[in-house]
This record gives sequence, C-alpha cells and structure tokens, in this order.
Amino acid sequence: MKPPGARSYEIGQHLNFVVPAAALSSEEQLHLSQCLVCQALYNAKLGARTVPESEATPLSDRVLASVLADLKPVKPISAPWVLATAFTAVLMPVLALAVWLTGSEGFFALSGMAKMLMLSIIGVGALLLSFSLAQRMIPGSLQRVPVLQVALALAVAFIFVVALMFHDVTDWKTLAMQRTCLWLGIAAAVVTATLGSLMVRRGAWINRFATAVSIGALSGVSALLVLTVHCPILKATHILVWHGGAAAVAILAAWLVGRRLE
Amino acid sequence: MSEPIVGPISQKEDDSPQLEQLMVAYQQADASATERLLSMLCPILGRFFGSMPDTRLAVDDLVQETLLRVHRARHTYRAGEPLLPWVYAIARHTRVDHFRKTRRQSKEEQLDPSELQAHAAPPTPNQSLPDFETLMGYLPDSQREVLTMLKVLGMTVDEVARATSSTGGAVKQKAHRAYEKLRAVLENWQATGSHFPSGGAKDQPVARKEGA
Repeated sequence: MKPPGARSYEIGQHLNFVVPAAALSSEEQLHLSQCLVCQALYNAKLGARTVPESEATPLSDRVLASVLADLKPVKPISAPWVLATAFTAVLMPVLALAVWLTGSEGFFALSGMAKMLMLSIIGVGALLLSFSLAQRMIPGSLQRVPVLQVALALAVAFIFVVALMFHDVTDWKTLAMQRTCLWLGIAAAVVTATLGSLMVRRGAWINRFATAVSIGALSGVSALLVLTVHCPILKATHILVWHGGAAAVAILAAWLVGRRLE
Repeated sequence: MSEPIVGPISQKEDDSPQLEQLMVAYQQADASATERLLSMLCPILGRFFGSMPDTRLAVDDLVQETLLRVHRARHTYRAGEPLLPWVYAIARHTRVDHFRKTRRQSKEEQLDPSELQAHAAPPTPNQSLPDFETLMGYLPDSQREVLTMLKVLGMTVDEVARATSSTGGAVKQKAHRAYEKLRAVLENWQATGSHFPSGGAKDQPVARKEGA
C-alpha cells in the first residue's frame, strides 16, 4: 500500500482528487499509483460524479414561483452567544415562579460550600447546554458542545458533589413520602421545556432528536436549580433520588419525544 | 489517473464569496439575487445528492425540496459564515428525511448493498478495482457519508463537520476508520481477486442504516 521510500499518508492525508491530477506532485502521483484506497476514490471521481452544467438539475419554475411569491425581508438569526444567553435566562423566570409559589428554604439551609458547588454545576451546565441548543438552531454550525457528554459529565459531577456534601440517608418509607420534590422538579422542567421549545422554533431545527435532548437536559438543569433553592431536606438519598430523578425524567422524556419527532 | 478532474466542484472556492453575497441579498428579498442564488445552488445540490447512492434516483426532487427548505430557513444564515456548509446541512437532513419517508412507504424498498449495485454509476475507468458503490457498501452510513463528502464532493474537514453537525475530530476519526476498512477490503480483494473478503461478519457489506 505504501510506496517504498515515499511519504506515509496517515489520517486524512489521502489524496484529495478535487485538484487536477496534473497538479499532484511526483510523490503524490507515486502514492496514487500504489494506494488502492486512493485509486478507488479517484475512480469514483472519474465515474461521472462531476455533472456537466448542461445536465445539472435546473431550477424548477414551480419552486422559483413559490419562493418569489413568499419573498420578504427576513431578520437574520442572532449570534449563538446571544441565543445561548437567552436560553440560560429562561431559567430565571422559572426559578422566580417556583420561589414565589414554594419558597426558598433550601437555599438558606445549604452550607456555603454546598451552595457554591451545586450552583456551579447548575450554572456551567445551563451555559453549556444553552450554547448547544443555540448551535442546533443554526444549520452548518460547528457543534462544539456535545450534549450527551455534557449531560453525562453533569450527572457525574452532581453525584460526586452530593456524595461529598451530604451524608445522611433516609429510610425508604420516609423517602417515598418526600416525592413532592419529584413533581415540583418535573413541573419546573415542563415549564422550561415549553419556553425553550418556543425559542427553538426561531431556528431551523433540522436535527430534531439532538435538539429535543438538549432541551430536555436544560430542563433537567432547571429542575435541579428549582429544587436546590426550594428543598430544605439535605439528605443524600433524597437529593439523589428525587432531585436527580426529576432531571433524569426530563432527559428521558425529551429523548422519547425526540425519537418521536424524528 | 489519465486525465485531470476539472469539474464544477473545483470552482467552489471561487464561487463561495459570491454565493454568500447573494444569500445576504436573498435575506433582504432581492428577487434577482434569489433567482441567481437558487440557480447556482442547483448543480451543487445535484452533485451532493448524485454522489450518494440512496438519493441518486431522486436527485431532481430532492434538489427542489432542499431549495424550499433553504427558503424557509433563510433567516438562520448569518452573514460572514460560509454558505455551503449551511446549505449542505439542510441538504443532508433532506436526504435523511427522504430515506425515512421511503422506508416508511415501503419496507421492502429499503436499500441494501445489492440494490446499491443496481443504482451504481456507470463503470469506472479502472475496471481492475471494485467500483465505488461496492466499496461504500462495506462502510456504515456515517463513514460512507463522511468519505463521500470529503473525497467525492471535495469538502474540507471543517465543512463536513458543519454539514453533519459534528466536530472536526469526529469527522477525521470517521474518515480514518473508513480508510482502514477500505484498506482491509482492498487488500483482501487484491489477495483473493474477489470483492468479498473471506473474513468474519465485520468484513461483510453493511446494511443501509438511517443517516441521522
């Protein structure tokens, strides 16, 4: 495969035959003569892939008429960082509503360190997921924030902080009676998801599954934020099961909705 | 390797700035710029769909459908960004939707490697090698798509990453895996004189999967 004495073509360095073969260096031509992968790709290029202009698909009159009939000035979508800020800001009215309805005892019950760690996870998570959502709205964006990895990292960080800061456990009977937090978290997630979905409609929304999972993950973070501020029960099992459970339900529901939308 | 490849793709870089200017004018409802831009996008999209085995039979319909989607999504183009990855991203999802639609309509019409053979392009000049579609049949859809975009359409890694909503690293990784797979297939083919390697199931052509 590799010509003796010639340069080795590693990842992504196989010849790109968009350039005329005549423009290839002698070393590259030697590689082409001996590399079966490159020959196969070269043949693909020769196999009438380049459609002559005369045979190219013409613009349909019907499509042109339809486009021109609907032609009106549009305002280009905002920059991704503006969209990301807007998505993060969605959490604020949800939090304000929850505090107004249910209070904020949890925030004052937390120690300074626990407050800082929990809010850092929530803040970083909200920013990253908001940026991911913003990128999803614009076709052709580089996806710099992989939503599944971010969600996984947040889950690990959440479990780590809970294990580090909260040690008390609850018996199963008491735990079952504390499930109000699950419903409150789910309610916060539903409100966040609804607002997020309305905002996403401004974009192209071409990858529906990934967009839905991003919205679900952001809604899960919103649920965690609301519960962290509201809930004064500082037991590890309660936080993991009901607070973490609300976030997990949000992501799972978004996953299922995303599959349905595809 | 007898004659140079000089096709419309090689003009892409020259056209790109103009395409982007036309797109901005399109957003401002300039009718002549709109018509010119859409006309210029037709052959580009035609090559895109023509290079994918599963869409080769419906190029015209898919090009027109993509142009309508481009129209509906025109506000999501941001001035200063490259236009072609934006267009390819929309075209790619048109292709995915087309595949889902045809799969829903008729399960038995689902494309598999043997059908890809039937839809193959005209014979390639070097008949001593298996044709491109045969080789592509050995790759999973994601690798097939990346390799076609990189090597047949001549897109850069960055453009492919943008078009596939991925990252440059992921594109390079898929391309690398595709090269390794093709290399194994071709070496086996060279040794045995057969397209079909004698290895295990991992060396057999893969069934066409959804390209989400």
